[in-house]
Amino acid sequence: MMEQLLLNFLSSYQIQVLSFIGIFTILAISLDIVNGYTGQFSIGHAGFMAVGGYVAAYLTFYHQVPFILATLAGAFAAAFFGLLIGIPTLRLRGDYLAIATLGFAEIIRVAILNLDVVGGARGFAGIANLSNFDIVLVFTLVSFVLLFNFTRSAYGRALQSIREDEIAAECMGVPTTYFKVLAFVIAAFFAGIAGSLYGHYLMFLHPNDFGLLRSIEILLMIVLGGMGNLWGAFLGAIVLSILPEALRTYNGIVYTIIVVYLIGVVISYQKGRYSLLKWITGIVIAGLTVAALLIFGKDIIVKYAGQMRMIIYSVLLILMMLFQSSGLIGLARDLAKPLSRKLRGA
Amino acid sequence: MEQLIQQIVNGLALGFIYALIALGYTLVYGIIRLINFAHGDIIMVGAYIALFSYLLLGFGFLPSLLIAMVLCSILGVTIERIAYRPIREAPRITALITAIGVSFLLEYSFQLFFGPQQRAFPEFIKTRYFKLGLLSVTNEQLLILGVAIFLMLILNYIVMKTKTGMAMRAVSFDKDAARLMGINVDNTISITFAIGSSLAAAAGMLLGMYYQQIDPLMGFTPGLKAFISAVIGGIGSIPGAMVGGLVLGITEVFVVSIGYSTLKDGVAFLLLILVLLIRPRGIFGEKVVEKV
Repeated sequence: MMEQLLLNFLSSYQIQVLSFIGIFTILAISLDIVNGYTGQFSIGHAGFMAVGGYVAAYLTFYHQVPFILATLAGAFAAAFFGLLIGIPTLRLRGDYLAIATLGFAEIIRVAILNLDVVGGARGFAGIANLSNFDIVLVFTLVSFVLLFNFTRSAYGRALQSIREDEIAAECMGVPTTYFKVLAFVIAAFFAGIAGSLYGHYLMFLHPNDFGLLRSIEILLMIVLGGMGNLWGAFLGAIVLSILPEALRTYNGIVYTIIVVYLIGVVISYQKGRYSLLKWITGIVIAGLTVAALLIFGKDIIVKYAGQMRMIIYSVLLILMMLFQSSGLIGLARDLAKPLSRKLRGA
Repeated sequence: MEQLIQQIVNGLALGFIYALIALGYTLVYGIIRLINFAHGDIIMVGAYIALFSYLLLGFGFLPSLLIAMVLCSILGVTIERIAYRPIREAPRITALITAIGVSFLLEYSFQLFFGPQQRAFPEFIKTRYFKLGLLSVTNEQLLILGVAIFLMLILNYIVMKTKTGMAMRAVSFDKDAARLMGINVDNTISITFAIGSSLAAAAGMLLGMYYQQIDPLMGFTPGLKAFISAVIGGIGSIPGAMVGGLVLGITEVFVVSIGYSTLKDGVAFLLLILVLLIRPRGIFGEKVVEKV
């Protein structure tokens, strides 16, 4: 329905990008429940996505199970794995948890590589095309509303109390282990849904799509957007789904540079490191970059921009952590503060 | 039985390489409580430096090793200075994400500049086989063992017998108290990064000789496995890192030798999770008491 409507304005390629924004939004907001709200550090989200995707695809491929049921089955399978993994590992803290989740995701990937019934190392081809923009949109909206309400419930506040101070939370009678496992299971559940949407959209799954790189990509989304805020995760999913596509074209590269530059200016202004001189230097540098782009020609730049995607990602990650660890949403909030004060007349 | 002993001998070389990397992890973790994800990629940088010093300058084994170690220790110190020092007081997650960022930056810049393809690693020494009774050993394996053990002895000497080592131990024990005692904490952390990175560079070169090929992503898996070794042995403990590395190396070679080479990488993580569940502080680790 929506897809037909949108086809009047957008190409099918653009609609595909929009669909992936939806799928990655589900992934990012669910990971944010664990990393942002509960303050635990999971870098194995892609593993749960893989479980959901493969289970759902197995059901629709071999047993012709309706898509909705298969997706739910995939989600429950992922949640079950979340429980299985969460109970032992969530006793660990911080860094150990990170490595353990990474390890489990890797074990899931290696296991699927050796599972011949779902294609093993060849990948799982021939999955029915059961997911489209409309379905992704519905699932994204429902997931967002559910998780948004969850974070605002007593449960959500319990999670945040664990993030702020686990020992204090325990003293206040919050069963911390129970809530940590709960957050983990819920995140896994939604990652499973996203996996099913992903598989039935692309009609193909490969274990290597669910490696560490994918987990880091999801992590980067919530970091960029701002951890502990579902809107931030959503924002991060939008930016990082569009960025690699934008870097494919010349105009996209130029726009990206301008936008990054402007955000940099805003951040330095916000931090009180603003000065006219720096701004002018910045404009000169940006101008030189654009000039370099013009001189060296489109082809070379477009060619290297594709290869530089990961470099750009990693630099973004580091800069974000060094200068703006509350993410884009934190920046927006800081900027809005004086404005709202003015509006209230204070 | 012979087969078994032969596999253990083969596993020793890999295990000592893991141990060298794990030592760097343990040193850095012990001093600033950060899993330095970029440590694995310093291995890769070290291997590339060794390769180019061979190809471009025509250096042999020892000079290449020294160049790689020196340049990588500079790299390690630089990374600490630029990326880790400003966020030392920030939440742990911030530091961890930054470390992941640095790791990816190194991997993909090398991929951009030197191409993603694998490169043959030069044979620094002619391979020869020695028969020791029923076992056969190559001189390459012996060289790996020799270099690794020598570096470990030096490390042990530095940490246990010198003033710098004493400062390192003091900082890792209590940073603020160490500062009050007149220890320059920033310098000590820099020195720790330099030592850890130079060990990683040596490990990278040995790893290149072991697999006979290198690529920009080569450091990631050994880096993770070395971290696992450090956890198995008890993170922060120097003998622990050595024992953990050996355990992991031998287990891995053994798993491959009984025909499950695709499960090789899974086994390391399985071992990690078992250790974390049974004895989270590792074999030699001290019990950490959570303070409010």
